[in-house]
Amino acid sequence: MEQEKLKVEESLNIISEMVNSSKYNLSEDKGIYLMWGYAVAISAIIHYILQFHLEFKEAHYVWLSMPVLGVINTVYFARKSKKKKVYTYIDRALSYIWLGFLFVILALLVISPQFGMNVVYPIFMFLYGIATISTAGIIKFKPLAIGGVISVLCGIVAAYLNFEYQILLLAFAIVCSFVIPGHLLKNTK
Amino acid sequence: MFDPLDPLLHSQLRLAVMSLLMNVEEADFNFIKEKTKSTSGNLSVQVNKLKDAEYIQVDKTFKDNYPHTTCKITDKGIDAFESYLNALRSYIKPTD
Repeated sequence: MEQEKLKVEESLNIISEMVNSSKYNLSEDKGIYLMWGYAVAISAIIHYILQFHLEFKEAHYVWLSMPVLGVINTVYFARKSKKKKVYTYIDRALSYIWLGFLFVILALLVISPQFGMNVVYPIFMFLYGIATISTAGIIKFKPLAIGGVISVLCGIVAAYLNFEYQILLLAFAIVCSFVIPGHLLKNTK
Repeated sequence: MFDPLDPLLHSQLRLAVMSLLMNVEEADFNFIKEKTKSTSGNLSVQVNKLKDAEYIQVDKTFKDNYPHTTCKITDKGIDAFESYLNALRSYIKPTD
């Protein structure tokens, strides 16, 4: 095996076969993506119903669902990285985009008492836009980019609306940028 | 004129290893073994040759008390791979 002389054609075949075999699997993290999409959309709708239809003052407690999902998310990726045998450029790019996204969301939550939630909500939608459009470019998946653009547009509209409608827009933005593209990701396993 | 092909890369398994590593940040030994459908013994010989040529960097650590080997392509390896591809190109140029 070692001494054999390869033909040029064989060399090209080996290269293309190896390149294909280490491609990123788009659908690997589909479940986690959908989990976040549904959770944020449902939480936003519950928040809206509790606060504006049932006049429940502490409606924002519904967002305590987020740290719980954060734990599930962390456990999922910790387990995955233990089993992971290969680390690609795409893995690194995606993890830093979403890590940066998380930091900025947390920073916004910290400063939100200063500006009020109605200022912060449109910015959340812009952030979904940045993160999903960049992810779309990296994994070459158009529906995600369209969802990201819709998120940004929702953010612009939300800036001119009351908080009541901002929550609904947030739910709509997340359905367009997470839920729909998540379901469109093909199962390649 | 045909360019000379780097003998270190012009071998089935070594070329496969280098092609895999060109595409990822790092990969563990078992992943490479699985993808190249090679045996541990042969792969480890070829990996050492690539390492001696400084085409790849090999890190041996422990993961859950088991030895864990990861491989990563070096800048020298990337240059060598690119030259190899360019040399290959000279063989497939249309002869007109």
